[in-house]
Amino acid sequence: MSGCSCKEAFDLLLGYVENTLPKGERADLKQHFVDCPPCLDFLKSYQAVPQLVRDCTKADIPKAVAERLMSFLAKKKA
Amino acid sequence: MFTPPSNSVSDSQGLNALASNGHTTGPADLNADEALVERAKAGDSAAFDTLVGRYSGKVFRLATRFVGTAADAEEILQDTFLRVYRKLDSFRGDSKFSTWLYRVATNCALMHIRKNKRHRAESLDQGLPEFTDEGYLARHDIDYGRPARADEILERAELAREALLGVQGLPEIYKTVFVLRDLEELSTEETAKVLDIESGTVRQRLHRARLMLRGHLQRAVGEAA
Repeated sequence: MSGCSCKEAFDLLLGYVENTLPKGERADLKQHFVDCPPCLDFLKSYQAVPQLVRDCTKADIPKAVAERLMSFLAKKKA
Repeated sequence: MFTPPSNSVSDSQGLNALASNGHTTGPADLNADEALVERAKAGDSAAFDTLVGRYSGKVFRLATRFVGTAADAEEILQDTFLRVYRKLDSFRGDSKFSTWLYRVATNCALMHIRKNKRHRAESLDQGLPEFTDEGYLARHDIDYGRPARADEILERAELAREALLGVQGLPEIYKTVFVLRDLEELSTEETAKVLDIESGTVRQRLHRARLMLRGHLQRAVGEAA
């Protein structure tokens, strides 16, 4: 097993994903993911969160909403 | 008169630039945000309307991500631009207009959430990983990042609903960072400037937000699978 525990790995997850860890720490973490399938699974699902939520929560402004906004502001400006 | 709560963002502080829609090409560009702001301050209503048209989509998207429903997002959208219109003279140009706008919009969203109890955060702590005394992961959850992924197990609409519920369920300090950094895709530094916090704080809160959301979506997939 790598020298890094699961808890230590979790604390460093964001740095690992964003590639901001020092080389030695990154190598330790990489080895931990090889040795620990549950943590590797966790890493994959952690990495998936931003894109998944971003894609699911995209919302284009409806034309009617944009038009109401302009009417609303026009009244307030008057 | 609007008084920002202590942990919200001051609208009038100057910040470094946010990327806008590529319209801020320099002082000589008459349609650049800064030029339009100056004209709007001088009473040019069409200039203000151009700014509204340019950013209403982004603000609506941001608001929807905070509150989940189009109706609530529209209220935030109108509040945001009304506030921008009324406080435009206080915008000193120390930051880019888009940065200031993001601050105003975020504050409006937070005010709306605080006013409406139905948007209050629920605890997502139960989704956080647990460890044994020796530091090993205590629970091996279903991984929705594998081929049997959340988007294959859950219908698209259900996944969207769970994603929005998850974001709304985040505590405010994590929600703002997650929405700006991960959903609106501002950089860590830009997010820090909008929220007037340190970059390190952005990273800590982002990590926690991602863990909580991961746990929330894990439970949703686990219940559906």
